[in-house]
Amino acid sequence: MANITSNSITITVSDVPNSITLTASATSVTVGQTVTFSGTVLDPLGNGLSGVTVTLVDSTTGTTSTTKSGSGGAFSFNVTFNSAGTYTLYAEA
Amino acid sequence: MVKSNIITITVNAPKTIQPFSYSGPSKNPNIPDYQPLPIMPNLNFYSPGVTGFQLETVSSDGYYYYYRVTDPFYGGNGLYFGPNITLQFPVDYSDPIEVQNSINANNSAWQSFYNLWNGAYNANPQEYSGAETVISQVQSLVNQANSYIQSHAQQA
Repeated sequence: MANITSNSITITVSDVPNSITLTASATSVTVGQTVTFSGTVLDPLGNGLSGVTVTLVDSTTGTTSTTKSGSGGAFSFNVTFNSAGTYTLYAEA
Repeated sequence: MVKSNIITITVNAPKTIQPFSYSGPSKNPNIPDYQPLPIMPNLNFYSPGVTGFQLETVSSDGYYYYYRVTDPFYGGNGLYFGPNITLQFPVDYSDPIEVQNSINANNSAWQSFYNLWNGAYNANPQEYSGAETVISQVQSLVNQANSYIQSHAQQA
């Protein structure tokens, strides 16, 4: 009996961000000082995702900044605050 | 789209220290009032009726900073800056050692003042905005005081 082979099916599994953790170098500063925000982008299995565009959103002023996650999914932003007040920030990808 | 946790940042207005600009009665209960001079700095010890003058400034957090000059011929004994700085005037201008000691004391007091304020300023320029002007003004006064002492020593 001759062997037969079925059609082949290609499955593409995309690695998508599942979680982002954001930390800040300081949460209370003086006008003119810079705060470094850093974090990590992880996939559903907990592995770091590099090359993902991460956006830092200042929900108080509406300004955004973008960068790409690097090795291990790590990313970093610097923000200099020029006006007194309370700001809320988060990252998204 | 995945979002991170939210972080809240509090940004405080800088604390500022104004240059000395006020000449008038003391607000410090430990320092008696002196007749003010209209122009600052002015180390004219011979102004009729003037036994000294006082200048003060206030930082935005409510702390006052003072210095006071008194005429050594009217029984005063020096210049004060807050609780930390005292400049010395000689008692006997004919004694070159005493003159030199007084100048040395002034310079030492100035150095202490400079270290204190310059250190604070360098550690946190935003918080001590204006300190460089205060330092410059006091340095000018110290230089004038030493010149005054030296010129009187030469006349003696």
